[in-house]
Amino acid sequence: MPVLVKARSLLRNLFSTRRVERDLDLEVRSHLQLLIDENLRAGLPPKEAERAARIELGGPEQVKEQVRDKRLGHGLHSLIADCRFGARQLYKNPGFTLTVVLTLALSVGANTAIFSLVNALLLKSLPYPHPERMGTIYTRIAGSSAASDERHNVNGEQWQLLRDNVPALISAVSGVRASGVNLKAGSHVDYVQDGRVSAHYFDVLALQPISGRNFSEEEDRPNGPKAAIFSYNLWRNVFGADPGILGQPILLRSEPYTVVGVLPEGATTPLNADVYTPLQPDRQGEGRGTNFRCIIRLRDGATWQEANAQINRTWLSRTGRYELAGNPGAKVSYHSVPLQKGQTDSLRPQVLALMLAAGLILLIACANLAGLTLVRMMRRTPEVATRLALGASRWQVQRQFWIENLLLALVGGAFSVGVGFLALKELFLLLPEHLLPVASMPLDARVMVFTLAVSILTSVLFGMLPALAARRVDLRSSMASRTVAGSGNLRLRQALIAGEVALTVMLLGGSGLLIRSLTHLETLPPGFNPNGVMVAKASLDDVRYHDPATFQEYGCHATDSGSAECRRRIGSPLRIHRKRLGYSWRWQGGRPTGRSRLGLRHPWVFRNVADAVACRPRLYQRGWPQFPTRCRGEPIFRSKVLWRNESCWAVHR
Amino acid sequence: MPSQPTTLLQGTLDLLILKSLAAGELHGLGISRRIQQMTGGTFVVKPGSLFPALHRMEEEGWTSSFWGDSENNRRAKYYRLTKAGRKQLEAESRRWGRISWAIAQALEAS
Repeated sequence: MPVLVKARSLLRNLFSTRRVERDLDLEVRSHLQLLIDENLRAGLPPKEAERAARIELGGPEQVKEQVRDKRLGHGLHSLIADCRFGARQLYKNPGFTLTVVLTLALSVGANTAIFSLVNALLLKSLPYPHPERMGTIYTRIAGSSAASDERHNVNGEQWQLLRDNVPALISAVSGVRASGVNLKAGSHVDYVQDGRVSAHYFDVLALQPISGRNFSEEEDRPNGPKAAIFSYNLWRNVFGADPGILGQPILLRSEPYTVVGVLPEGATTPLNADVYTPLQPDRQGEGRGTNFRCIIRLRDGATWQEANAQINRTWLSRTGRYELAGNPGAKVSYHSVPLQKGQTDSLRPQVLALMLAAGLILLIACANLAGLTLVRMMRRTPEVATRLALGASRWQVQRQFWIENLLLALVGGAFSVGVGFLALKELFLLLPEHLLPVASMPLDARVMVFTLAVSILTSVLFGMLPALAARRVDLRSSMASRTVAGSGNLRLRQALIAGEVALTVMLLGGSGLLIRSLTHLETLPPGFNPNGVMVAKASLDDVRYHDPATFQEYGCHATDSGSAECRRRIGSPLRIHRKRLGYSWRWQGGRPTGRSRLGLRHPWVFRNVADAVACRPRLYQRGWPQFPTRCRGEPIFRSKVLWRNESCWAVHR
Repeated sequence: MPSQPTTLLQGTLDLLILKSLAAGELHGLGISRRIQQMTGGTFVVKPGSLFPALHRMEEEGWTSSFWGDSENNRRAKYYRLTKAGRKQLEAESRRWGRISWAIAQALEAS
């Protein structure tokens, strides 16, 4: 078994080094003794016998070294020795080591964090079966002033055509985003995120409820039965994973719903909601506008070309072509785009810019570290010269330096994973909820490989110049003068510093502009008097508040209890001007105004708010409509549009 | 009269060591002297080449070693052929036979 014998020899050479060495030493000595004996027998005098024997042997140390060179695992053995020596060197220079490791941990850590973002958003495939068969629809407008190619929300007409006339796809729509609602089940009340989805939404995502069923077509019709599907987390955390939950009535927005299903554990949707209810889309109400978000899945056997052709055929024959409203004569076409791209397209430039900035930080760190190692290298010139003089090859000296760099890179890389993890956690806390279309950004294998690669690349970059400089060490002059402050090295360092400064200036400029914009935004006059104004938020998305009188009463009650709470906490009552109590809300899914094209959203505000913040519109001269006068049974906050906050901005700037 | 020592041909050292051990176990110096004797003094193996080769062959599993006493009571490391070593000797001998035959053919060609 030659392989076994070899393996045993290799293990012995690596792990019983001392025994192997002692054996070799004894063997060489005994060989010398035998030679001497032989010479004595040949009649030489003792001194001469020993001299001749030594000449024939050719130096015990050299013989041993020749044996060592030929040993199995010799390369590995010397590598380990080099690593040990390198580690000792780093341990003996704690200042240098600490600086390098800290620099690496910060710069590589920043890259790790940002790369996790890139990974989660752009690289990782979606957590659904066959993600390549999932997509969304883009609208391409060409031949007009407002040419674009982006994801549009769809309206009721588009949705119905898509559902009925495109057999190549399973399609589904949802509300644009989940909204907060009050959930009441028995005595339990909770504020949860409600995602409104059409039938087949979970079929497109290929999610099957672990118990119960998906929404039926019946439930998706306008005024159909009110059903709800729970996410696994809601079912477990709020209902204690109660298996009898199916068929139970619950109240959402004070309206009765029946629980029909529970999603599997870990199942995520683009809406990221706690409870799902039927969207019941049609051409009326919100279906008049583009208020639905569309996702599609290619049916088995169909191709994207077929699907695109079918979408174009059915959508181009529509009656309401809103795309042409601002640009008559424009050429409009539709095409499907992979869901991943569709979900993250708007974030892609920002994320890539962040990655670029992180890369620049890494370059700066490289330049810094290169300067540092260069100086250290120069201080070690006598050591290099001594090693060369003692017979080490240039390659051995080079290898020693590279190994030290690699060790630093590995230690720095390990720390950078920790830094990246912390940075990521902070980043996730800082960002507004639901800004990113992913629930988590794990440090997975791809991120780890990236970190390792970046660490090693960094070590190669910052180790290259010093290692190249070490090649030019002149033995004679450095032994004589014990330094090598050559002009070449000086120029190298100057170039490094210049590069570093240039990169830093660039980054500083960028971040300076960013900070300036931020302060500008923060200190911008808000256009109203914010003194003495307090803001409280409550979800009024509830049938109880559809009646204006209850709504008003709720406001009074809220201020009274707020005042009482204030008295209890700080000992003095809060004086609230009843007449200056105002309400506002954000119109969900607002769109840019056609007039200004500033991309402002319409927040709808009641007149009392304007009174409360002492803000007077100057463009609207016709005065305020009275509140609440006309309310034809509709929710007041849909019908009573009183004033556009946007004009206020325009006036007070 | 012994001929002049010649440098060893590449690949012949293994064969010579294996052959020298075919008759029985020997220590390092014994192998060296046996080769000298077998080749009529043409090949003299220096310790600098002998020891690396011996250790390499032991790692290959062709030889095994043990410590014993020499003829004048000195401790010495002895080597002997293993089964794999004998096989290797046969293979090397055949190979060498082919090479020397081929070289002889080439030299005889006119």
